[in-house]
Amino acid sequence: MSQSNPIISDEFEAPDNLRLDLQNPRIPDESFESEEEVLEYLLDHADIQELIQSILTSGWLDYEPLIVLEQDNVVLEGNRRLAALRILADEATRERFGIELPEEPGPKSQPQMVRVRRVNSRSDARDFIGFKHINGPFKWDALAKAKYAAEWLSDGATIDHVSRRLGDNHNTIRRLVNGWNVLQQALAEGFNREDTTKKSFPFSHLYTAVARPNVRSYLGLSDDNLSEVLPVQPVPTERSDELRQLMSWLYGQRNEPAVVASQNPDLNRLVEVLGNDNATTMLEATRDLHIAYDQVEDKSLQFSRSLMLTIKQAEDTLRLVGNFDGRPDLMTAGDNLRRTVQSLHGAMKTTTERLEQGEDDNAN
Amino acid sequence: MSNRHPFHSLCPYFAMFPEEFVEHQVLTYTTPGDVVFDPFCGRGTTVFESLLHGRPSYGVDINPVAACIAGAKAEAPSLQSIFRRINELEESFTSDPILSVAPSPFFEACYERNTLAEILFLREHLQWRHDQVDRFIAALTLGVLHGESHRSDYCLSNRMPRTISTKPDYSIRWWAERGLQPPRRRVFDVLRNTATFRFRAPSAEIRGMVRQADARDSAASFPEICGKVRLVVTSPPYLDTTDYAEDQWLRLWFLGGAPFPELRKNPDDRHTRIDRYWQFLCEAWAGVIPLLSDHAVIVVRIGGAKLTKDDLFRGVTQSLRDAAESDHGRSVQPVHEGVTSSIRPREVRAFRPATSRANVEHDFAYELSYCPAA
Repeated sequence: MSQSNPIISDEFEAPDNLRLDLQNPRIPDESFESEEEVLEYLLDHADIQELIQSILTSGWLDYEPLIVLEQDNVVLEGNRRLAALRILADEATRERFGIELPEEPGPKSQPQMVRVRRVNSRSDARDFIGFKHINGPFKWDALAKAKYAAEWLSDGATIDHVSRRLGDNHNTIRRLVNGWNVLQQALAEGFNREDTTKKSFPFSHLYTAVARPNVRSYLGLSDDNLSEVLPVQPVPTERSDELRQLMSWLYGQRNEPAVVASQNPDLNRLVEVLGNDNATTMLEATRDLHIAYDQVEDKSLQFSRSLMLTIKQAEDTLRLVGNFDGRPDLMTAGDNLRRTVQSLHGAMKTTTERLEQGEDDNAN
Repeated sequence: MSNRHPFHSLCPYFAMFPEEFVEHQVLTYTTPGDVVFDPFCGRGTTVFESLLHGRPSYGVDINPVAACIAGAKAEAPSLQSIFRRINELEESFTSDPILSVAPSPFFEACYERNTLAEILFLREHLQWRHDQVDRFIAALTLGVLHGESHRSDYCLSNRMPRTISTKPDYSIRWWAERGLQPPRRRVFDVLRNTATFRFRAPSAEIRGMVRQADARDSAASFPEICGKVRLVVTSPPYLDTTDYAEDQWLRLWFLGGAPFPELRKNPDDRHTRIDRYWQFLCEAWAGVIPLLSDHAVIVVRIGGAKLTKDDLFRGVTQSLRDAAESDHGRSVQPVHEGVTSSIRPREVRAFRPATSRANVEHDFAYELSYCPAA
């Protein structure tokens, strides 16, 4: 990547001559055919109306240049602002999108020229754009950041440079890019984001999972150099089925519901399951995370948790005992509970005595 | 076991223990109605978790930040009264904005000008020591006073860790190197939003109480519960680990402290000599023991970079026995040999890598009761 200053000029340009970016890196999930589609998307997702209101009130403040591609006037940074100016300048556009302005835009909100900074290529603009969105008003989500970082790295930037410019540490950027590369491979091999069984697409599930040794091993990913970013197409061909399985467990696919409902505890449980062959086979066969996790959970911890839960539920029931109406079947249930608790206590006591006896025998 | 109550994360600090740990002790050693106490209550995890389980609970802490936050959780006012007071404060601020002068260049770099004016106004007007509603609003403010503002619109400061406050010179340099500017935050709006968020689960049905006091003065601080406490769950400051006043200087400033870090403000926060450390703990137990019922349990979570599990077990046991001896021959019996857990990586490592660090911590439990012979 070039180390020279990528800025070639700072000038003024008429807004009419500028074009909205159809490949906006902030919007990794969408592809656009026309500027009108971009405008529609930004109106729906990027608080353009708020920006319009601000320009109407204070006028256009030319405090920060739009970053523009030299060859075709596509705005790489400042699409929200350009969208707002388009709407303010054109009544027909306002009518098409059903936008009513609180006041008629005057000259101060319709600048003839705006400040632009021209660059030769998208990669030359990266430093500005990455930096701007550390604290920007339309912050990137993890998926957008992952895509941006992955493309930047593939253009030859170092992870150190990308991390610094995006305001994250190496580890975060590495995890995001690794997640992105695995996702791209899964998509290429048939995973369909339109066909998941979750309402949203929690990308964090994937990039968190891919950072865990059990998952890496399940996918056949190299652990040779954990400080390096995984290459494009990182999962070996012979592990394609495992990749398909993992994506389906995380997000669901077609008629297979996701088995991970939440990062905690489900994702952690999935990771533990993948560290155990029996449990993994069980999960592959049943798609039931509870059954599979039962194979790996520390049994004494399981007992301790269950005992605490029992006490808590008994206490909760005790708080409600004033509402007991004397129904005989419930009284029978209460007797039954007493016998169960006595058996539990008796079994625990027997175990304790046996262990103490064993210690005494060892001591003798 | 249960969903985390939003009060627990009101204002984090890296030395907090998880509420599941408290829940386990409370369910194991007490029944509903038993009194629980914490002489180093910190952010009030023991106090609040015990209240959620129907155990009246009390605590002391010598540090104002801890007393403010734990007290807010223990005696939470209604959301309506919090809203009323925030609105009232906002109205007085709008009609009579104070001329804000940043206490130092750090504050100008840390807070946007208007945001700082609102923070200074709250610092001036919140009567957090005397009024429950003001204390809760102060605790809410402490929780958002600094943090990762590039990730959350609720953090008032320029980018900082949320658990600890970094030092002024370091912070100014760090922001300048990255060209970071403090964000404009409308403090009253942020407080209304965070209050709503914290109250999305009902607060505890019973009330507790927290007072700002030295652990050695526990009994003197709570004469009304002498002889009634069934369980103590606590974590004393670890040997040679952190300096609370240094870590928390910005929050201490908000509650009326100096506008710069004061090192070693309270020497008991960071003991570096082992003999004085055990002496300090012995005196703390002596302050707590008059509160205990005839049969009580003390659970201690403790670590320390330079101490092994055996060292700690011996030290805690001996300090408790020394303290109990003066209490008409109360016996001290360990319940088990100690449970060890690893400490999760702390955010502080990224900001202060030189801090000596304990990797593991241990839980010890003791039954304290009167010997029949005595």
